[in-house]
Amino acid sequence: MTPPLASGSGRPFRRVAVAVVAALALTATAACSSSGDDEQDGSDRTVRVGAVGAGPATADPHGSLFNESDWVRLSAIYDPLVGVDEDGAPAPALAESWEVDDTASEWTFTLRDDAQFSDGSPVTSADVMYSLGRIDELADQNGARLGSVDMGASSAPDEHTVVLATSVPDAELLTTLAGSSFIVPDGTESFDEPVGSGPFVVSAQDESAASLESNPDWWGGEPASPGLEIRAFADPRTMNEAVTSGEIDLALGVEPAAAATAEDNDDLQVIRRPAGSTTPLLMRLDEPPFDEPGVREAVKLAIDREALVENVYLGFGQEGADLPQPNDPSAPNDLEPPARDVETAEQALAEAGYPDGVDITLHTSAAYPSMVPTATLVAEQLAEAGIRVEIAEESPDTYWTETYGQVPFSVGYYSQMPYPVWVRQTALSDSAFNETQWRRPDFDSAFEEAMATTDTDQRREQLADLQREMAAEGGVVAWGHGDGLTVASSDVDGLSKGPGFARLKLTDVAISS
Amino acid sequence: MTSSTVVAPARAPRRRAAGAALLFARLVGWTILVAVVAVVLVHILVSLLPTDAATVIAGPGADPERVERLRGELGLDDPVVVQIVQWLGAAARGDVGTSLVSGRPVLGLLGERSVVTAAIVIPAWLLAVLLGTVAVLLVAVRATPRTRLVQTVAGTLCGIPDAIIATVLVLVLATWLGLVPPVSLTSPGTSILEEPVLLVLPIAALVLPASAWLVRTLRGPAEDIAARRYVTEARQRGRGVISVSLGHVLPPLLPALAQSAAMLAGGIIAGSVVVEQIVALPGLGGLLAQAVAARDVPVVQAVAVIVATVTAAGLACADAMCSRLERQW
Repeated sequence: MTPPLASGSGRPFRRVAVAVVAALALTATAACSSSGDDEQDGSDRTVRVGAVGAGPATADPHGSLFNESDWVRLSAIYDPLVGVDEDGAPAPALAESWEVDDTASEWTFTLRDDAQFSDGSPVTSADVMYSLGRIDELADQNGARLGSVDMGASSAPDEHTVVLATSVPDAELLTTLAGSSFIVPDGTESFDEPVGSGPFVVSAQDESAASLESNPDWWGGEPASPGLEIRAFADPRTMNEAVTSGEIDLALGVEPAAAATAEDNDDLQVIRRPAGSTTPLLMRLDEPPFDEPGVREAVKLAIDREALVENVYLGFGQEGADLPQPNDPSAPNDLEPPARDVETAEQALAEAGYPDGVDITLHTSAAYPSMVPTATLVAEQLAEAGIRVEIAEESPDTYWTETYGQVPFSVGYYSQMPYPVWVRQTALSDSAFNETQWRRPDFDSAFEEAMATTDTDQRREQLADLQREMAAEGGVVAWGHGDGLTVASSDVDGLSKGPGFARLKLTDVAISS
Repeated sequence: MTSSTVVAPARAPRRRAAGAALLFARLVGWTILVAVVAVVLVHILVSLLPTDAATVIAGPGADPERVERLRGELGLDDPVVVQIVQWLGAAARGDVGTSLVSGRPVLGLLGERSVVTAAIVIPAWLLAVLLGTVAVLLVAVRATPRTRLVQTVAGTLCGIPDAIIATVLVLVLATWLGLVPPVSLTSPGTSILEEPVLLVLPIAALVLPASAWLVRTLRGPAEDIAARRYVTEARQRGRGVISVSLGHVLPPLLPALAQSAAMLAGGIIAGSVVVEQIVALPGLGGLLAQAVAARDVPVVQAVAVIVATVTAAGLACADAMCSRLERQW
């Protein structure tokens, strides 16, 4: 090794040089970032929206849509045939009115005559028929979004009328179509340069973000803000950082932990929408020990719903009464969540033939953040009633295809959908994927009867009875519902507080001065 | 490649030109071979993963019949070998396919994202090589407690995962000091190159561990050279640190440096996958992560080709350089 030699007069100079360079670099970066802030000041500016989009961005409004960011963008560009109101219930959109025949199997929609696409052409029945036909063709990819509509038997008698026939009586067709029946111009095959009739028009877009300008000619009136910038975040944590640092104005669909932090921050506001998601326990009725109704009752009584909401959702949620879709207009709101009663649970367990308790495995996965904490807490709570739970955590990749609904006891995940759609997917004897093996011919026929009832109040009462029956005897333990959470900077006005598709309504959102 | 049979430098220019052409042909051939092997391996790996694109598209709880129909439409029911051969055949004709999930051409997906990744990877690589070389020369030529500190810091940095370094940098540079934005968001349709300040964080997050790795790898060889007699004598004659470093230590270090720098390129590209995710930069890394999660084989393959080509070409160039330099020193 060389002996250290002092390099004499060179040293102080070098230090000065380093300091100068560093200072210059820092000022340059600071100057750049502050000039960026200036541009964004002022009240009449674009609203920057963030949403989670872990998968590749999808431009096709009729295909497979999993990214929240895609839903936000497509809802801003395209109008649905049937929209939603502030409470998430079906409301006029491109169809300004509708009628249903007495058998609830033929719907006549009248289109508004003042809607036009961003290329200037008017929206007509041909566009609606083309778009619905496309949704029907892509049924495998979009989870049969068109429900019971039979496109072969449907028709467009004139430019502003569309008659949709359903394959079975479906008095709830509107809830199926509401929000997701996006209409594109007749013959559209490429969606790279979107042409829609919605409240916003795309001015620029790339893989992760889109700039939209408000559409002054929109039939619903010009939106409150001059435009939107919609950005997909692969990681919700990055989205939280962006909204906290003011790089975006609002973040749709944040995790409870981020909402809790935001509540302590004066620059941010938290919007809570009831029952955005549900993390139910699913018990298979055809497998021991859940083939015994007493065991199902014991589970429902032994869990501590309040503690679950407090710990899993950090209080951003509500206790559930085992209703899979509590936001549906037909949900029986008078149903109270069962109070915890460990003694009665033990008794029910004993009467069901398990006086010494029972050992079961609860399967879960980290597919959604609420799923593993749910399993952990439930295991502790059930143990107090003699139900000894072992937790099996599976890979998120294979959980939905290989585990959930196929083992006797698993943790599920529901996002919002209309109750009838949920029933068709999973609660009828002929459902393609019956999670809890709830197969009751009486239930099936009562559902069919409700779907053929055109009187809304009567139908909702019939559907409410079905939900009561299943809450009492079924295998779905919907112990609570997490709020849909939006974090926005405190100067954002006009945010929708409604559930379901109402969350995507951005026409009233603007930055206040 | 290291056991080189490259034609020895000859007087006759014709022979030299022929040698260069041969060298270039070997370089290209080697790179293509590596890219093809990478594609085949990646395809096999993705198909070994549980679930496929059809299941992802159909969504949780989907009707198995629907999934089967989708699988047929996407061509996923063919044997893996058939799929690979078909892809290679099409790729040879310049068609790298469309994304299984979004249905868009893979080339279009790569476009702007390659620019973004290049904009952080290339500066990060240059900076890391520069910083690492300066540090290693300093440590080797002038061993003092302070320069040994560099070595300790480098050792520590090497052991920390990229994700943690990036997160700490976000905390310090963005959250505490407010010098740069914590996430690198560009306005839609504008290039990241128009807002270079957004590149500071990701580049820094890549440079730190990369230059640390270089210091650790090259310290031994550099110290060996610095201990040679002509170097110590030069120091004793009063030559300065910079002069000795550049004049006596750096030239014999070049072959090792070239090889390490080439390997570093691969490492930095790999690190960019993680860093891009943390600062929400829309580069190839994010595309790769999405594509693997969605089992979008054509996209994964395309990214693999790019990464493999760059790394293989870099290594091949370094090897060629090495053998030349070694003959000189």
